[in-house]
Amino acid sequence: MVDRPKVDPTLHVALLGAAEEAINRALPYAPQTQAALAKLEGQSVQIVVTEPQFSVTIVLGGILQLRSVYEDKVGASIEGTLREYLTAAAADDPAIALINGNLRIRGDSRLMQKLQSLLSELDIDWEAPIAAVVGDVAGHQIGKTLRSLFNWGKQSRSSLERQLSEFILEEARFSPSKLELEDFYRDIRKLQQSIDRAEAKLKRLARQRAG
Amino acid sequence: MSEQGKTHFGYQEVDVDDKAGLVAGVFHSVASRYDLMNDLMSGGIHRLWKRFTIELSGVRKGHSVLDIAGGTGDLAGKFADIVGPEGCVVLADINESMLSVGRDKLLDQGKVEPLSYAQADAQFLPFADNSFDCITIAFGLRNVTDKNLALRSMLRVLKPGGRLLVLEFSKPTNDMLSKAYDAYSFNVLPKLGQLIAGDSDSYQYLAESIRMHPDQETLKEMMLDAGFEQCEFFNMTGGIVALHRGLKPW
Repeated sequence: MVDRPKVDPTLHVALLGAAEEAINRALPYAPQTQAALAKLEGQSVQIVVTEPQFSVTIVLGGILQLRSVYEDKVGASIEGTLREYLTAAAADDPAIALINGNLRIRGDSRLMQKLQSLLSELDIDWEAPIAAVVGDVAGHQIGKTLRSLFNWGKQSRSSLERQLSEFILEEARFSPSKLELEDFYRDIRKLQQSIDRAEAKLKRLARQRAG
Repeated sequence: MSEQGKTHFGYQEVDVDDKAGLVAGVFHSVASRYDLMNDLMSGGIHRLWKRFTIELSGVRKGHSVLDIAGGTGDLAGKFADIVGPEGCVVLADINESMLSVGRDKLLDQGKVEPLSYAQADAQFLPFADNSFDCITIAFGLRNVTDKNLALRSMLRVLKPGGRLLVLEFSKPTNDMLSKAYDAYSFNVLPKLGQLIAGDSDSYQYLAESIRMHPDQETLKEMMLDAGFEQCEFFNMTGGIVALHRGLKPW
């Protein structure tokens, strides 16, 4: 059965072609990842986004192929809305999010986890491609800076999230804190109980009067 | 064909026997700069159309592939990588100039092993019955004198279950796009042809021949009539180009 492309094939193929080119240029600079991918040669994983509609099949190997149409049986497929993918990607542990989240995985889920762990261990050696252009000395310096920036990016994400949540709660007070909310809910519960008691009392009085 | 013994060459009506010679003249004239012109004319998009064709071909390691009107070898080169040394890819073109440009290009890329070359007429393919897993003809069918005869010839040399893929200019699905495309084809295209390949007439012919080529549904019907089954087409770039696919019955 043909998985008919949802967008004009020209655009779909252009996006995937550009991504494939970029990935395959970068892969040799992450030799461990490339070697691990080469061991999965010929296996395929389909990624389906339902909203907005988009799909890609990744044929694994030392050189990755990104296909808009793939009519053979895929090893594993994953399906969900763009929001569900983003939620999984932003989770503290994407591997757990992948299993417990709303994304639907079919086929060989071990293959999917293996890919996920390969991606999280991806460590690109920036120095080599840059040195090829500007020479060893400048390449080393720029590569070092890029590497630290890249790692700082990873570390700083969680700290940025923490700072953002503090700003929303404490500084801007866009949203009440957890403690304030709990107080508010306790007050509501008390009010509810008082109303229930008053209602019961009224009913009793009404019965006495009638009796 | 409009009447017995006559066919069209662009917008002109010519004798059936003359068309092949006239088309040959066009391609002799543009062969050396064909790749450059394709890139300029389509803004490089022809590479994407061909990439999609390869995805839909389902060609795998060990398959045998015939690329008819293969011109400068874009598809054949990619297929050679996919089928590997145990497979076979034949690049066929009726035009000697185009074939030798294609062969030189592939040799320059170091591609030798599964490739062979044949100067062949799509209407009378010089191959045994049931020879190929896949046949492609990209931007070639509209230049063939008798398209029905060519389709039947392709069916004959395909293996049962094998696929024919026809990539060809077609009819834009949107009126606005259609008008812009006409203006481009008849005003810009021949000038580009004059500038790059030194030949505006040949590119005038290309623009005219595209308009005379059957639209999506008509070509699909022609494939069914020739004996293909499960015929379908995929519009690309708003229908400026369509990829038709049909299977030879088991």
